[in-house]
Amino acid sequence: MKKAHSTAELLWLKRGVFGFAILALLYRAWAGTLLHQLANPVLIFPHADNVYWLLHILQVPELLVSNRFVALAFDLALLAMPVLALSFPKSTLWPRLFSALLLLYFVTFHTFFGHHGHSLVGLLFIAVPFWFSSKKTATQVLHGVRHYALFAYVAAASYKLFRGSAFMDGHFLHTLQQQNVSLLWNGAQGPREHLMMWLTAAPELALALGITAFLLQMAFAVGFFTRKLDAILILLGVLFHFGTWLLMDINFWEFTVLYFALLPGKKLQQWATPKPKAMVNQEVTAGTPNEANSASALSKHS
Amino acid sequence: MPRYLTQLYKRRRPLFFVVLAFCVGQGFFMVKGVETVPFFLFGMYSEPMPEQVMYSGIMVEEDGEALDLSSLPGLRKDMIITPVERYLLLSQQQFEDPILPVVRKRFEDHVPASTYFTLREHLSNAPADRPAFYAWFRSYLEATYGRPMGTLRVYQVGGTYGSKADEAVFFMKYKQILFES
Repeated sequence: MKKAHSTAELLWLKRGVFGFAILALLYRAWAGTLLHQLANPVLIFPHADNVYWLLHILQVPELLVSNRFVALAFDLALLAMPVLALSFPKSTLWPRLFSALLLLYFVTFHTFFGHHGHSLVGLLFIAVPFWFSSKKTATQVLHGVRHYALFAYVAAASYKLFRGSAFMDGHFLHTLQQQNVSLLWNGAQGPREHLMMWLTAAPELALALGITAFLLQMAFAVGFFTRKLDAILILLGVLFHFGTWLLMDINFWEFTVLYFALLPGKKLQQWATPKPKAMVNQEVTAGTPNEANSASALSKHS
Repeated sequence: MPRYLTQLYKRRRPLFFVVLAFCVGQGFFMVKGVETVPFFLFGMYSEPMPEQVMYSGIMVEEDGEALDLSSLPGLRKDMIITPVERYLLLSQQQFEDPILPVVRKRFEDHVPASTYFTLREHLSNAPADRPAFYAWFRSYLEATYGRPMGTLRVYQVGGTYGSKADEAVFFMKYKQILFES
């Protein structure tokens, strides 16, 4: 097993993850979907999820949205958690509280949204390693989160394969057509709508795009066997999510926070422990004889 | 993954059992086909989608003119359309919430009647929720557009894709009002 991440590496990751969390919450505020912005919604959709059922039996979602001040206080607390996690990096309390509040937001939002989406699942999982003060435990949990990220994409591809939609002629095109109907009827004539109508006239290309999406997801299976291609998997994931946003208006970028668990170890080490300027200058002016001394000093430092 | 689990077993056994339990739970819910937090199912548009006889969607009009929802942030647009789609499904079943048979099966014969009715109320939607839903829809749109709204009419619209002068076009076939607010 890979050695534990250093303190510097974990701190760098923590900054990345909770910085990302702040961005995601600000995006949700801009999109009018924080709890105090939902205007006290009415219809609930717990489906068959026992956690949703439990929270509805306790009336937690209803309590959170029914009073604007309660909802606002909740949203401010939720936004404060990643800020505090960044401000007090040694503390494990704020990541834990963030996870708890995010879970409440997750269930409350999705029950009133009417669809149990998964874009915030990445944040739910990537915060878990930071619950632990032990570097070894945090590292091993992060490895587990990395496997979960791979699993999510491979599972999505596998469902397409086993349900027969991966190579099904017309599947992707008809999905696009259904996905975009509400926009067409509302008079939208933007690039997405033009692109979709163009694909309607070119069904072979739509099929090729659908297969490409399937292959992009299935490519993540490689990560179960080697870590060497993790950087490429990140690029493929970004390409996949860009494509689904472009064609289907699916906003899934929040899920990509899981890519922090895929960052190549050497790159992470470089970013987390930059060489001190004085030593860099020494290497440049003194040449080869100092390189061994500098390398040894750096390894002691990290 | 097996290597990760093997080394976890050797060096961090309590964590190994937590991870194993999670894997077993995930597998169980995948086989069962039901999602329960934190065991998520990533089905992701994998249900085969044949060509539809009719493609249906939601249209919102204010004082007779269609609102251009595409100009809104994606999530906000979805927060307008998705609850209406769910409302439509409920309406098609005379507002008999599809979750009710499950609630009945789990609780009706196992808890006192008053508790059962409270649970049913907390877990499902009822016809009496309709006026409040219409009022919510107006409030949310007013908050979205930052101004009072005129008469809002929400329609289910349906149509087909075809071609006209060698270009793909969408032909509206029907437009049915769902509610007015």
